[in-house]
Amino acid sequence: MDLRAKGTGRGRRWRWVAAQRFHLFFGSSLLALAALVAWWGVLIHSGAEERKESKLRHLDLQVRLVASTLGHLPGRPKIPTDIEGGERLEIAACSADVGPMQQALVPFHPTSCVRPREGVRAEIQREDRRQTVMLVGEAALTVLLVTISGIMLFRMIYMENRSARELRDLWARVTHELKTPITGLKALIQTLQSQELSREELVPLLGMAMSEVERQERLSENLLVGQRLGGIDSQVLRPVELCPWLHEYFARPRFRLPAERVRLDCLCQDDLMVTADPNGLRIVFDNLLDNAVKYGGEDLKLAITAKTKGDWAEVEVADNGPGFAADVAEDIFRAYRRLADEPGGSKQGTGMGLHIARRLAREMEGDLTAASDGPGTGARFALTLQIRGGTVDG
Amino acid sequence: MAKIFVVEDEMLISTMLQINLKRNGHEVTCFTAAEPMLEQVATQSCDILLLDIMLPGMDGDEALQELRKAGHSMPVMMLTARQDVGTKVGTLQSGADDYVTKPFDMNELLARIDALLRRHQTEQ
Repeated sequence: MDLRAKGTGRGRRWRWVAAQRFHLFFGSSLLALAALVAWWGVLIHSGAEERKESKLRHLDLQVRLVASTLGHLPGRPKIPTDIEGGERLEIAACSADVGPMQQALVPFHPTSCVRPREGVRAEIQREDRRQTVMLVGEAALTVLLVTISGIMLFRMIYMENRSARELRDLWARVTHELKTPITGLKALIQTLQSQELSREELVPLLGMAMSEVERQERLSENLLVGQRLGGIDSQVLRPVELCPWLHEYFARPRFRLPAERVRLDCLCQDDLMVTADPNGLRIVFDNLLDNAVKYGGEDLKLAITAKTKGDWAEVEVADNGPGFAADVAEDIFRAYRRLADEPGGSKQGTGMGLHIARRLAREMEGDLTAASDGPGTGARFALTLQIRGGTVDG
Repeated sequence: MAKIFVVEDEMLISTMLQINLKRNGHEVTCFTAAEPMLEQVATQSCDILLLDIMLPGMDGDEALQELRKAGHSMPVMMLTARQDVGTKVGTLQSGADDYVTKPFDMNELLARIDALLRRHQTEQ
């Protein structure tokens, strides 16, 4: 919820304008483009009329000039071949029905007239139409190019705005996630400085404090991996004995997820080797567990099953949490996507955990997928890893 | 002694607030979300409310508006991780009496709560 969206009177109106500025800008640009198109239309039309008129006037002038010259020359009148456009004129007997553009050769040959050859006027009009079509085509092409570049520009601005907004949201979450553990730890330390607490009071507090430290550690790790400052280098992929690794990992004491809530089944042969990076594997499971704890609630139970599946090793992490609708199974791996954003969700987390877990799984040449039979039925995350045959050889 | 409601979903912070407020002689009730607090307030009010902004479900800001809409006028102290002026101004405009930014200093928070209580009692 944007706190700045509130306010009074003028402020609110201005904020509305500020919020709508993108649409206002887009709308006014469209209007400007439409006005430009209309203006071009007027210009092309009037230009075409003017050009046609001027060509006809030029023809008329030429007729008069030639007529007046030939009218003063004795002998049989003949259109000179060396004048420009001479081929467009002809000499014929004056008649009443050839139209306005004819001139009698006065005073010597008053019955003969100079006039444009048949079809010349039509040719001028045709040529004019051709030019108009050409201009309209050019204008349309220009408008099309301007529109396409405009749309691309707006799209870019829109995407830019959206990613800026996402970044702002992300930083708000990261700020919250960074400051929350520190707030708790600072309050604990200040309390311990100023008062005595009994051992019974202190032990659960230290457990919670440890959990906050782990949370901070996970966040730092995810931020670093997210920025590609950490993570997996294909050089460090090596054979890992899966079951002993899992037993060791899940034996680690956790305040938020006590060992009795986790059931670990290894259905694979004990010497099952996978190709992985132990650190990457740890980050994947940290994020899967974090996700389960975040959504699982108080009665969370986890069942971890490691088994071979075809040529692959698969570790399934199944919880009894809220699950999800089948159509979001891929969505939940999208960066910064959080089911928590939906009503009733937890507001913890940055939305990077599962995205990073999948990325690391893939960088280990494996994969991470999610499945659920629908809301209320729990979720199953399957991490597949490549089986490395043989025994540990380094 | 004042009756204080704390709405904070982070367990460590909420526990530490509870320990310190109780030591200062206050009676504390903790909530992990805004909705149960609103239900409780309807039947039994408190002298001061500590309200986190980032909460699961209804956020602190919406809860504050609901509270004011329902006519409750107890002093409200907001807890926020954000330090930008817009958030602070918005929080105060929505009806909060004071705020502290995380990570807050426990002694400062306690002193601010006492100051709010004094002011509220004088007004009454």
